[in-house]
Amino acid sequence: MTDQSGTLSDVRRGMIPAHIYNDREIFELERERVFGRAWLFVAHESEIAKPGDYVVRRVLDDSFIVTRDEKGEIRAHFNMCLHRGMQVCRAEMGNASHFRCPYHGWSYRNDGRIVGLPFHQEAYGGEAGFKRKGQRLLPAPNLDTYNGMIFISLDPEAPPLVDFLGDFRFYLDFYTKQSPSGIELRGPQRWRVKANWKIGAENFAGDMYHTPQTHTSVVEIGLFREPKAEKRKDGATYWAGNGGGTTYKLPPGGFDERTRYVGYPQVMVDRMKTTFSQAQQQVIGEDGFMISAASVFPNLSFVHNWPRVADSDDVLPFISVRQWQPISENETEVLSWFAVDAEAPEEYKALSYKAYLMCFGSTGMFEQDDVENWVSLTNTAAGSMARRLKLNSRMGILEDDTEVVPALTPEQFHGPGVAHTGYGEYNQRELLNRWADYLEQPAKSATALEVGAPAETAEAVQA
Amino acid sequence: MNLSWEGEAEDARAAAAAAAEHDELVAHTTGEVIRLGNEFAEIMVRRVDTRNGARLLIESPKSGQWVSLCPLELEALTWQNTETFSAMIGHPFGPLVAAEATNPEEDR
Repeated sequence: MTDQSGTLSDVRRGMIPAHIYNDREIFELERERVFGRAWLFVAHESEIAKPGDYVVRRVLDDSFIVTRDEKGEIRAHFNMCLHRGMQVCRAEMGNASHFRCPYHGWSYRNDGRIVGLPFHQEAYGGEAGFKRKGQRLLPAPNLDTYNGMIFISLDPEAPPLVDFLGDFRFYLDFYTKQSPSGIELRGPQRWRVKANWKIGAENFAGDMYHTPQTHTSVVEIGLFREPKAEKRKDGATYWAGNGGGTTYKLPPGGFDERTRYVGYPQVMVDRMKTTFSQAQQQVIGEDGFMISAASVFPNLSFVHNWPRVADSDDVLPFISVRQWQPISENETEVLSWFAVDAEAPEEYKALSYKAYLMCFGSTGMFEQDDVENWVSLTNTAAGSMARRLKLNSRMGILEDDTEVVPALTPEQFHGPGVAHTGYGEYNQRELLNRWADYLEQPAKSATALEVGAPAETAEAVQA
Repeated sequence: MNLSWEGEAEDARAAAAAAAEHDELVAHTTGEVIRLGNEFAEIMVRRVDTRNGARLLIESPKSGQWVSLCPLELEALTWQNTETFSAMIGHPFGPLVAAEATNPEEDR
């Protein structure tokens, strides 16, 4: 294994060794140290609304059954039969009180407890040979939720989710809690792109600089009311806790005028005013910033935008949640969900979905523009010349690390964290600094569970 | 050469009787057949009328297994909790409670 300390210190200086976007050894380290430890989004509660509902989601190569059991509790079971390791659930989603492994018919309740082994007595001599009592599908080492967003961590000692998200929760609320009922998700659409997972995460975290160039055509066809994508530099980028994002600058007005300006009907605006905190309302109503794209380390992103949905000047907002699920160092599965306030009027939900489909998802115009760049970057990063190149990711800071434009003051920006206007790569650097922090820490060994052993033993295995 | 096993004729008679009973029940279907399934099971449910009342015929097309339940048996289902069904599912390919062997002595 190559010593990566030089690579990580380069990343911390904002000089990115190009090969990190297509490097097998780096990817193996990410598997162990980033995805083996960080809190990762797996599903939203609205996807498993009723007892028995389940979805099957992955963390790299590990499959999990994310389910609401008969008592309403949310669980994530490692999707591997305790007998011979077959996947217990193979459908992507369903509703079942029990799961039955197709290989030998071992069955489990949806809370994970094993209920049956065919011929338990004849094959194992009953409990004496295989201790069935108390056995369950292996649970995810850690599970917690925020605003209905279900996260798991493969690290049993992971810090609490609330600490992991930190102050980013302030911004997460804009996407996931516009009313007391929160959001409902539709999807996900899934597709694979031949690009490294970090590129999308960085792009959504703070790349306002690419919009005028990459997405020219989207503006040219009149999908947006603002004629110039260059307006993005008037917005602010912010970083707080373990995530950061971009905003658009809004025309003058108060909270009501500005939320209506982006297309929210008054009934939704009124609910936001009773749901958002005072500071959250001030970011929009006083500071004049409307949240747009964002990323939470490592691979969860959001986007909020308001295109024209008909032949008029009327715009309508949509929210998308997306995940960059690594397949390898040069391939990513994108999961893209449409999200909408659960209390929104039905007509609004339908139009918002249309707005989402035009911009993002497998048919989205932004999507096509972006991926072309990301695939090219990934391909180029694989070669030998890429190992001689350190990409400059220092936009927004001078040689001595001072800022080109000073950060916004608390009076100018009422949200937590640090915010800047103008073009900058502050957030991409923050995201990759987190990445470097995780890559620096060797993983701890995990304990192994012996299935059905009469005397339960667990022995440490080298992870 | 013919393969045969002990009790073959008895098994054949039992199977034929069950098939005839099943066909008789299906012939008296009322209303639509309901089909439902998930990745673990597929099931067909139909109301079947007899001369003196109705039953619910539940069938597994994959295995050919079926059961016909009277309203009281169905009501008994409503008294159950998940544990009952866990026990049934955890004991596949056969009934949870074995049929009692008829003992001529007890009938006296």
